[in-house]
Amino acid sequence: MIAIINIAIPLFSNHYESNIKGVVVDAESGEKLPQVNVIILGSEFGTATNENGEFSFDDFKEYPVTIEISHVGYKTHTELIEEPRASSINIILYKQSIEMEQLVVTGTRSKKLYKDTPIATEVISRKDIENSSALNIADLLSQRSGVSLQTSVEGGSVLNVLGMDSRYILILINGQPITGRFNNRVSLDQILTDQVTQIEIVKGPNSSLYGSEAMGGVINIITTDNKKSREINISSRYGNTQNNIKDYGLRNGSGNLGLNIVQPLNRLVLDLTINVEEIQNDKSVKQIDIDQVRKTVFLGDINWKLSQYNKFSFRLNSYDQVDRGATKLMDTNTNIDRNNFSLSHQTSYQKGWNINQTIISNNYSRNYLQKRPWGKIEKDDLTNENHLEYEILLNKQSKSNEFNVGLEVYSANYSSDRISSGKQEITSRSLFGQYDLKIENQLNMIFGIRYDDYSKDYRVLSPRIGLMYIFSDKWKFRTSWGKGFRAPSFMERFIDWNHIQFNYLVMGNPDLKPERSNGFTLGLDYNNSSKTQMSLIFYHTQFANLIQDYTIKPGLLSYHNINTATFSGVEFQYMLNISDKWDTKWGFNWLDNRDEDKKKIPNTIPFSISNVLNYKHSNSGIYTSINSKWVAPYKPQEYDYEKGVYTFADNKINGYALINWRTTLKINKSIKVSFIINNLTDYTNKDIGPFIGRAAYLEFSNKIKRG
Amino acid sequence: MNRLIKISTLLMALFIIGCEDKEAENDNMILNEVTTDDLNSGPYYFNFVSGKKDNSTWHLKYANVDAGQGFSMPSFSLNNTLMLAIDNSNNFEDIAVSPSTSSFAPDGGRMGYGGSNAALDYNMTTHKVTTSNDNYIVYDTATNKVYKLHFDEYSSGVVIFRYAELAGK
Repeated sequence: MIAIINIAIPLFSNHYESNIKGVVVDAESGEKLPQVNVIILGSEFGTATNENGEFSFDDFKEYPVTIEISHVGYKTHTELIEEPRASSINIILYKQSIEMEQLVVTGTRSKKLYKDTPIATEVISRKDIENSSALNIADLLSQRSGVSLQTSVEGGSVLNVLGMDSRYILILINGQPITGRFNNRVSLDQILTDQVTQIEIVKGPNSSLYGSEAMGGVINIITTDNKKSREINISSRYGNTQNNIKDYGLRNGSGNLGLNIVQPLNRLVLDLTINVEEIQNDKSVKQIDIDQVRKTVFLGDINWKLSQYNKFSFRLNSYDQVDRGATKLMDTNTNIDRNNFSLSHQTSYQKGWNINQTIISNNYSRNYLQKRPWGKIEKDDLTNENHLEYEILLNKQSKSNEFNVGLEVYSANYSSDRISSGKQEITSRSLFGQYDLKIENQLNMIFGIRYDDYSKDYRVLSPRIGLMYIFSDKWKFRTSWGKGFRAPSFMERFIDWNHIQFNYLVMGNPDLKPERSNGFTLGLDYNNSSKTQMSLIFYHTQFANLIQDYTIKPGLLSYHNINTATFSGVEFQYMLNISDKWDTKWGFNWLDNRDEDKKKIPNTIPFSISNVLNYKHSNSGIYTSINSKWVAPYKPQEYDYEKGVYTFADNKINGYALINWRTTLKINKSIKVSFIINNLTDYTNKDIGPFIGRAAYLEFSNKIKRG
Repeated sequence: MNRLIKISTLLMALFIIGCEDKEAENDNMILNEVTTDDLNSGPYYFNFVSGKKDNSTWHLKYANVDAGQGFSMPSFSLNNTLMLAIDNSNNFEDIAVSPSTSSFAPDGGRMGYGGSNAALDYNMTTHKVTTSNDNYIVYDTATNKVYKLHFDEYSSGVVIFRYAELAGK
């Protein structure tokens, strides 16, 4: 082999004598792009740009040549080079309005181009997030068709995704479940969009990969960006949702300040982000009976590339929220702290073998204090939740197949004044495997299974099968079937709470079985270069053993497994790149959710439409987005305590439209100023939301990048 | 000319005095603010005449009532000697004079939980207790006095209400 190389090198160098070198940059930001593919058409020669966006082919002689430059999310560029050049070629790549080759991870738990994965995945890109003007994930998702806000029996608002209570949708951050559920649900308004690079939504049961809670779907919020060069980003936003800004001044409203610093140090890359949001005496907080909210997020990433085959990642995510409220009768103070640590080690071996090991520690605490102005403490509830998890994932990749097998060991404890014994623990062990098989570039199949063993309480087996058939370059068919489950929460099993005010007692049921789901999806994708993209997906999921609260006897409530339900829906998405300046995205969602008596389930929005219209004028640096959503009339739910069941509320919610408008002016390469008006139609509903009417915001961002 | 100025000044003075009198009439109305006890410690009774909590001679009662299925809900009611009228056409602060006698009718549970003018409303959708925006006018047939009454805030069993005696019955 060495001999062949020794012979080939001189032959090669005799044939090509000149250089082709260049640098690839982003058209909008001017940033140099690493990992861009550069190939010489009609030859076997190809390379990728380095971290400074540079590429070169040495000793090239035969001219003219055409080089093709391609990169994920950018339009492919070709450049004719007629003769050798001493200077470097400057290649400018333009972003595709419709991203055809997005990398997705959620559907298979390994990073793949979406076009290659058999599991249908909806992607909300960074560009979509920026255009949406949403500050947090709850706001962002509620702009989409098929997603709405609902109220729970315990009070407050929770997200309803595809007609399902959000507790049936597993929420992940970078592939890991989020701790700290309030009323069994994750508060998505606690996750700020500022740090999010992509959101992936996979519909249908997915417990074969993720275990509990992936009953109706998975939403994976990805914050990692793999930044490699030094940069500083500063962003700020001020908004006022009062009727009259002049009367209330800058001391009221919402303010947000974010700072992100990326610093490479040899093989280490530090990526630190801090974000502070404060809302005071503003409609958005008044509607939840508080006067002031302060959210502080710190996100730290340290990536250490020890060698080409060894990589360590350390991640720290700290969230602190303080809510304060004061009335003549009560002062309230809620303090929420969430700390997530994870340490990962990735090792690559020969022949496509990889091992990933991760240790995760999550802590969550919530303290709710109610104090009368005359000093009497009415409530001082403290909830603590601690998770510790170790997982090891073995991965083997080849050209036509991929194999994953993993083991998870998990331990959690929960302490609260509202549960029996004050503290409860649970441990689980899980084993999962997945085999991804590609047959002749037309058929891609995936088989997965997971076994979860929850202490001595119950064991669950969750299989899944997925299939993708590629009819042509433009058409793909995807289908998947799988099972899901949700382990009963600590509160559902162990709550022991006397609601003195309304004279009832809620007792947990330690014998609850896991809720189960069984569902399939059918999907059709159409891609026409970067011009048009369409996807149609039908999903049907049957739920069994649903946990519901009920009245055991007057004044005593508990939980039991009784209900079955069927959640079905069709979603159509259409993306059109109208011109270089205009592009649009449409989403249509039909839902038909039925209970065991085949009656419609309250809170199901039968039909909704969303649209995003983007305009950009690169020369003047003006970008405008209009996000709109129309929701068909529906009946929300309420809890009938006399019958102990959920029923349709008396009043129907009429159809309504929500429109958000954002215009950004790019002053120079670094500085952007945006003006935002949310809820242009000023639609509100005091019972189920949206609670905040028309609101204006001013946003400023400055990005300084070196290297 | 001087005469004209004098007459104008006199008319102006009369006008100002007239206005002052009317304002003074409202200013003189004493608006009492009352914070009830916590309902969880038992029913609460209030006497408008004495302006105090009074378990024996009371006009307003605040207690938990049976709402079925073992649940209880906070509720207000009036003593049998009182009649009730609702005045939502004026701001509470601006109501100074009693409405006509024909406006009054027995409470009949209107002010209580589930009543047509319930002072406290339990919202089945949001699961919150809120106070009514109604302005209640109560007529005590025993003392022939009329009071206006408004419930301002509810929080975990405690309520703030305001009341004042009205002129002219």
